[in-house]
Amino acid sequence: MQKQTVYLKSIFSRYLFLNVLFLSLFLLRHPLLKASAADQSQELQAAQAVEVSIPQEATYDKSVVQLNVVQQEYDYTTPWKKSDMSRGIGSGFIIEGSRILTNAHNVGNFRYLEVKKQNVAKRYPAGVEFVGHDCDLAIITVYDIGFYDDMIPLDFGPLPKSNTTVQTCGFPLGGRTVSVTEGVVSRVEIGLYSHTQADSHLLVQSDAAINPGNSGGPVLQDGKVVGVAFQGIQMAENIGFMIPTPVIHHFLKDIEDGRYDGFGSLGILTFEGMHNPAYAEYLKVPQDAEGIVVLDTILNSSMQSILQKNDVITQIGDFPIDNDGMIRVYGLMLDMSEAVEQKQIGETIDLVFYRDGKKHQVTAKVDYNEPVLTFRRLFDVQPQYRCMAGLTFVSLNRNFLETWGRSWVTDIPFYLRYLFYDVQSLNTNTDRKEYVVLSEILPDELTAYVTGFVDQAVESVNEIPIMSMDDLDKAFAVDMDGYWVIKFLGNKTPMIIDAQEARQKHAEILKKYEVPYTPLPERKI
Amino acid sequence: MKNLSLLLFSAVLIGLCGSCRQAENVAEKADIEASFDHSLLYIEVSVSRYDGFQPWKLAQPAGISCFGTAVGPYEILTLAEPLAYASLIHVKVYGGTEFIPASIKTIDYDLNLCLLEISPDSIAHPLQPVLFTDDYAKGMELTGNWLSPDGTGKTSRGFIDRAVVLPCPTSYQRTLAFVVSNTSRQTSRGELYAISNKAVGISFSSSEKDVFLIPGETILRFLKQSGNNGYIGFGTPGYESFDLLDPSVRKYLKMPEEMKDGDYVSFVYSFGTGSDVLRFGDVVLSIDGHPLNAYGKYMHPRYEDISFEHLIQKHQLGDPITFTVWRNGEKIELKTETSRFDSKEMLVPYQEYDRQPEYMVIGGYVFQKLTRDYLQLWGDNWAGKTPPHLYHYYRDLALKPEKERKEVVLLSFVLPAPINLGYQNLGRVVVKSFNGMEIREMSDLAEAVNKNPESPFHVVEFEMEYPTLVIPKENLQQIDQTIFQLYGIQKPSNIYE
Repeated sequence: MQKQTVYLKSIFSRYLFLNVLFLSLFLLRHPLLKASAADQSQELQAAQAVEVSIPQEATYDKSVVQLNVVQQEYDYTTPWKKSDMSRGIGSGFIIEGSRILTNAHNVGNFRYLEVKKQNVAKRYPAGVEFVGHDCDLAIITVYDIGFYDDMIPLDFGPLPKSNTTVQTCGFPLGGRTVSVTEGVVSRVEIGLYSHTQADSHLLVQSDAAINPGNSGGPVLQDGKVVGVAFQGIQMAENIGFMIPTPVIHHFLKDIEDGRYDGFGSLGILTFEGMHNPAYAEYLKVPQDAEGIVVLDTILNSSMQSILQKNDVITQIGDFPIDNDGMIRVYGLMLDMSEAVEQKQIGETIDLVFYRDGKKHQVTAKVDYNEPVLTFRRLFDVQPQYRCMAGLTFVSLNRNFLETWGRSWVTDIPFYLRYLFYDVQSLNTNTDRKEYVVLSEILPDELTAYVTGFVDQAVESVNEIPIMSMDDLDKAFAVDMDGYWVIKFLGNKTPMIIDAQEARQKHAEILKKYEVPYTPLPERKI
Repeated sequence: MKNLSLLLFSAVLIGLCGSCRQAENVAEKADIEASFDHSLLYIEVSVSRYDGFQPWKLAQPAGISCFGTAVGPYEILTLAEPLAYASLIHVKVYGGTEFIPASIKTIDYDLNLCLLEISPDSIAHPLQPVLFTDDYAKGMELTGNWLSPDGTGKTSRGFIDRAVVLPCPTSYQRTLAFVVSNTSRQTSRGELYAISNKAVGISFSSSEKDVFLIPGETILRFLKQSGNNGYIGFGTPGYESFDLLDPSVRKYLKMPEEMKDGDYVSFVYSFGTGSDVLRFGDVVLSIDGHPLNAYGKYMHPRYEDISFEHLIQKHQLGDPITFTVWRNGEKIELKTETSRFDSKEMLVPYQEYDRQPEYMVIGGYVFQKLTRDYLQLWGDNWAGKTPPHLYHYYRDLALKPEKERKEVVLLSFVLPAPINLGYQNLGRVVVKSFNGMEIREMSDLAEAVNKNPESPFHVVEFEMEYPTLVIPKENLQQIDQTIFQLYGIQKPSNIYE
């Protein structure tokens, strides 16, 4: 399973994700049905134009592979259907244990996957063994074990230093042979991984040309892998990013038990307010102390009962924290979340903090610590739904909101936007597991007058608060004097449906719109 | 060939007939134009409003032009909208070349109407007043009349298509409007529209094909009250409603099957007509005996289907008004008085024209009141761009101020200075308390800064997960003076009682 991120965010990051939408993933994609031989020919020519020939004795010649993948997302509005398919080309490389490491975005929602060696006609069908969407890494395996016979696994190197040379290998714009481009490491810092649009980890920026198709290819230094090429910035020239080895090692260690758990967090919101001497004095923090102020903890998180507003964290693990919330690690100044990144889910880390002038030390558990409505884009998760006489309910998530198109952030209905941004403040109920939205009303006389309620978040059904999709099953088992009364968040007017008529027409409506039949919850009197 | 000749002959004949009709029309229209020329005015307004984010300073003045119609020898009717924030108003009369200063006599933003006056000494001959009528004839041809900047009269044509209730650009209300279709002019800056020689309205809005008029009956009400001592305005609705079309909902509300009409009350405001007697979930069956259909419309003898707001807005303040409602399975009558509320009373005012926005600057922290004008600073599609926790107050609570919260006070942004180090990116956050005092409105800030005099800090708490703001009091006045000087702030605060 895929999971989790760092959730140590500054209060000012609330809208920052808009600024990084231009980060693009470097999987070469196009609609499946529109692809043609001519397209491929053009890709090949384009690829050949930028390729650098590599000597046959180079190790990566027998290590880097091309991935051809068919991907298909779920339909988040009417989830019994699936969306359009698309075909993509990416890169990967062999690592020890007869495995291929690549990017998660190369294989997310895949329906078919094949692997190709350079200059070899044979194509090898493959499957995904592990995927970590939060760190954009995946392990795939080729079904034909003979595939690995003439392949050479690559070893991992250290975190590369700034101003050192690296080589990026892969199949930019497709092509038949591995392309190698050389570049210089520009900087190493924590940044956004655009695959999920919500996770931040350590990343390395270089000026090596990285293009669509490069995704998943190794970045080498002294013949060892120091990163996996994965994203760039469309509006900038010669800026490419790689996933460095600390993140790769975390992923590989995580899957050792046969399951991917993901990166954890402490589930706290923080503020770099200690720059202000008056604030520090008000918080009774010693004059020479530096640290970061706690604003809030995520509901139901592992730190909820331990930390509180205006605590000042001064040390995490062995790392003192400065007033920017940075720690010195790998010889670099990085966000304090890097200390948590080094831990696996379930592991602990010590925190030193001040509260009312007193110094405290606690052991914090690294956990998922997710809010009920995550910023994260989901992959490989079959959306749940309920269709009650044509009233279609889905779980509110980013994928559903993105169905509004490129300008979804401003175009989505107000209350959904309000929930998406401010769920930390809006949800104070520890029982809530998710928000449920009426995503579609399949047209019928029964619901002819209530279409205006579509795309609203459900507050209650028949006076039963809806805290999860499962609550719908309980709520639709009762009615209110023969009616279904559905209330929505931010809307004072309820939706009224004749329950008896709805029960009579349920099967007919599902059949008409080819919705897999599921009986209505049995009515309880 | 024979057929072709016949065709040509017919074409010429038709053409001639057409010319005759045209000539007839031109003559008729020339008469109309002549009748209004001396009543039309060209108006230029200098608008000087305050900067939205830096409310201590005036923005660059802007020039706006609009059109006026004489309604008295020295009185001119025009729209309220272009006169908002007016710092200089002057007018031109027919054939005139000089600008004549004018001043506002009455302005009603609820109706989007303004009455200007000019000094009798400023013109050689009194203006020729136009008499407005409440005539309405669907399908009739109209002329639009206005005075161009060079002092000559201009006209356009169109047809009255329908009467509707539309959003008023200067208020939260929806008001009665005539729709003029197939118009030859798409602008709407107060042009006078007339049927024959009867003035029936002035234009206030337009779309690609239509022009919308403030109708004669609204203008007559406005002018009548403007003539009285003390303009008090007209009724404003105190609730919102929802179409009651769904038979299931009628059954749920236990309405008899034969009862097909009525309008569902979906939101009752804190003020306005009916807010004292109506409840959420009531079905308004009639107002003053006029039955409302399921769309909340009543049958007007001339305008046909018109939304219920019109029945309230035509009342003077204090007039009795009766709502017949369906509540808890029975029909009841609710009697009350017509009332109105001012935009300033709203939790998030729709507009605060003609006055400086409220603010307070302390320690470089700029506190402001949340208004619709403030939200509009986010530009086009501001509803989708503004921080949702701010827009929520406007969308859901603007018409529901309570004792505990009469206004929404924000920390708008921070003027960077050493005193506010660390907080300089904070902004657009709602103030919950200041020195422990709950902040219900801007004027509370002035009181709150004097609380906890023994504390070395001012302490401000915000809604949601935002940090506690700590402002050291030591040398604060001196620091403030430095900040005011640095950022050009003339006045540290502007707070109304």
